Amino acid sequence: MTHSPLLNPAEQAQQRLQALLSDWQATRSVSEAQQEALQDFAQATLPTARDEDWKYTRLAGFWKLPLRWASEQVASSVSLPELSLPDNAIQLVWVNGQFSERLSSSLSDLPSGLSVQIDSAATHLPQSLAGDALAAMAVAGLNSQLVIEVANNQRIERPIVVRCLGEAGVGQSLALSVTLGQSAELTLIEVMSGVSDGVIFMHSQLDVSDNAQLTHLLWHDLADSAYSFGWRTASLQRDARLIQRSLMTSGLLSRQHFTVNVLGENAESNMATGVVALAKQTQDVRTHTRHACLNARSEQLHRFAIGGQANGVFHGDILVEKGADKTDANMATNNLLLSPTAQANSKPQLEIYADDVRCTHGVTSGTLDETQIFYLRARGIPEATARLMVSAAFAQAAVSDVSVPEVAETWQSLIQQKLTEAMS
Amino acid sequence: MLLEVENLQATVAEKEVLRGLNLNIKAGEVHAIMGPNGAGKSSLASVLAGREDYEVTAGSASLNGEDLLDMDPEERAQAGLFLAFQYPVEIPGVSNKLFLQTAVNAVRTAKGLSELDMFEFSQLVQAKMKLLGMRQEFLERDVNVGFSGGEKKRNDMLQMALLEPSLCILDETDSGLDIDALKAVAQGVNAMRSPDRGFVLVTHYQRLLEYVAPDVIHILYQGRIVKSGGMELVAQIEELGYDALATA
Repeated sequence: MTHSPLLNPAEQAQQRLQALLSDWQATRSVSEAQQEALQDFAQATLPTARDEDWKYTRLAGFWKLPLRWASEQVASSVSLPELSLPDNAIQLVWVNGQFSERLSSSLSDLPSGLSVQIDSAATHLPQSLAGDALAAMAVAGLNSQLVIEVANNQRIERPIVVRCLGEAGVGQSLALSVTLGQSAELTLIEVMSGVSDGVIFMHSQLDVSDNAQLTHLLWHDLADSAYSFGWRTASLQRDARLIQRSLMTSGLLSRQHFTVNVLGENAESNMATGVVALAKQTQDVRTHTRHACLNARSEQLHRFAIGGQANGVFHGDILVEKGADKTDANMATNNLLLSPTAQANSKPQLEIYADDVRCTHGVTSGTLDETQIFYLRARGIPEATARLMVSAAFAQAAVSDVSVPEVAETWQSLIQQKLTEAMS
Repeated sequence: MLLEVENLQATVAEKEVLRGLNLNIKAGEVHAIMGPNGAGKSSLASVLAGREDYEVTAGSASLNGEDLLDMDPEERAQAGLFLAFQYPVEIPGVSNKLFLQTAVNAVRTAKGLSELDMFEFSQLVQAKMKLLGMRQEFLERDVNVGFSGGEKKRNDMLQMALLEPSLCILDETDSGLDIDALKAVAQGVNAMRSPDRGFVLVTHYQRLLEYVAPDVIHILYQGRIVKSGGMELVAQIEELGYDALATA
């Protein structure tokens, strides 16, 4: 492949990635939507630091990544990293963008009322991502999609665990479509594990019908040089409940969008994120909450513990549409800066077109409270341990109410491990 | 000598707060240090415990013959010094149980003892809580978060009982307490009194001394100990006030 000398590095990257995706598409059947996305990607202008939305999340390194797009072959030697999960969990494992039957739970004895389909035909493509070059790239290169449906009135006791693994240098893109029928209940756990220099794109569409409840837990266990981009869009109908908890501690750069459309009366969204960013990591969390009906609630808490030269980026907007009276929407972001070179960039936004609402947003940024550190040291606790205890508690507090004990324990130790690096 | 302080001088934010303070405490003794506001009472407690915003400009302080001023705050605690705080600090997200177990094991490790496992620690803490009349739920809550003033001080007494220090400094622990909480603090101190342990009760009020009988009372005035004696000093403070007594 040759590059025109007239192209700038971003354009060269685009050309290279486009060729990569074209080659990949040539070897398999792709949907019209994917071809369109490839066109969109070719025509898009790649974001740079001059774009307001990308000012703090720098992609220069990503464009230079020597990616190969996930192929059909899955190395048979790949093994599943140890992970403590509930015994009855239904594990669905993707390796390099391909569903691995060998590593996944059997799909033949699923609980009644639960349907799980693995589909490579890309029929449930995500919508409304126009203008986003990365989203176009993700759609063009979509490897596989998972379609989960829970019938009306079915409470699925077994949590569904979606695990994505990637080998070094592999780019992969997955889509997840989850539909909960009326009064249905489900716990969905997403774990992304990427090996070095790779990227994982994840789109999900979460539809929660009247009076249904979805618990969505998400975390990354990525290598230090991995990239992750996610777009998760939920729609809540009347009396529906969505509980989302995310832990972001790994990867070189991660940007996760969480869109919640609150469409039914008395629906409730409760979202919390714990972030630990160290060294040169960028952890970027973007939330978009749209209230379009009466009497609904949304609660958000985002906590960033940032050390080294890392960057914690938060953008959250809440839109309350005309007529969405009695909306109660609250969004809080707390940043803990663990080093003088750590950066927090938080931008909350409220846009309100209804009359009678209660909406709040707040951002705090600070360093460790030295009186707390002294109190612990005065009881004989070494300084490094004291700092670890207080900073881990800060991040953990956002996600301490995770309803699956195995996940809560894993998260606690991920936070501890990560911060131990920072303190030593 | 348990605690030996000689000609101790210190500043905080470039202000002189201790100006040549001398104090000797033998094991088994309870000393009360009284004085007006701004005399340097809390400064003395802070300097001995190693608060970093205080700068020692001259003098010495040793605990069991070891140079205190050369130690980090955690090393002082491991060497047997305990400071009960005037304002115990709230630490959201850290459970009291984790905090107490971490502290006990840090001190044990420093002494060359093996760490207590969850079961052994649980037995120890239950016994101490019973001694102090504390409820089980204390352990499950975050460190001092949502505790009343009295509960915070009681929690400090529990830490003192668990760490078994050789010198306990109570920095105005009795300030702002109702009579029940004050009695609880006194009960903690009295339960811990022993021939190999010393106490320094830094106090603004004489009320605590009705429940914990000190061996020696010192009057701290303008950064120095200007008078030492027995309970008769309390009556004199009442009668003359600190200024007259200090300059008499």
